[in-house]
Amino acid sequence: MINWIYGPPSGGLGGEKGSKVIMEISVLFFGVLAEVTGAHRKHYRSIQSFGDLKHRIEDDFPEIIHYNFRIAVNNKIINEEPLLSHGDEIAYLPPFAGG
Amino acid sequence: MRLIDGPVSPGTISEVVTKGRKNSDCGAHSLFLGQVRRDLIDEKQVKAIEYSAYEEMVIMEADKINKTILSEFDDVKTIEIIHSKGLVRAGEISLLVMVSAGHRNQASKACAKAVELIKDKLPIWKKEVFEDDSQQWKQNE
Repeated sequence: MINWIYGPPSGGLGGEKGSKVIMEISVLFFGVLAEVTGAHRKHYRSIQSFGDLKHRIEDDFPEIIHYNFRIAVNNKIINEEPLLSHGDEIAYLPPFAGG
Repeated sequence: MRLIDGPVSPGTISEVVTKGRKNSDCGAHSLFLGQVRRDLIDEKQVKAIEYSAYEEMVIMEADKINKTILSEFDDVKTIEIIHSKGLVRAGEISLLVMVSAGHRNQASKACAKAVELIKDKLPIWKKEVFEDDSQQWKQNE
């Protein structure tokens, strides 16, 4: 069954070069990054790819590049640039400090 | 895994231990309690830690930790993890891990491993709050 809320399961729509698919992506900031950005959650519309989203975030919050962080897509930490789907949740995660 | 507001109270610790005793096939429970330390940093004393968490991901990652421990230690029966969010004052408990196993060797080894995985894998952040109300973000060593 295709769950259109989260986009096609293949993830194939979002990132192709030249794709006309326009996505809305939710971005969460945690720890020090929530303070730096002054936002816990921000919605980005008309996103075409992960690279596009990253640039939009860096334009909004230029200071973010001075911090260490990892990125999670839908609760999973990614190690390479992901293909996004409409409705994905991206999280900016500074180094963990539980315990 | 549970994330609770504020410190892990003595009542909660007692409940976890009481529940663990119902596992009558266990001969050992290893209990770890993490406490907020009254550190002195640049002549300022820590009075509390403010925790924040990516709650959905914490629950998912804790589930993976459970599975890792259970697959690595075949004598372990149950793992209980409770972590605080929000403000926890110095001297209060912010983390409880209890591992119940048939025998003490695996109980204590698995508990130690679970604590390391919690610190490494759970998306939780902490900010030290000093006596003068200034604050700073803290990273695990």
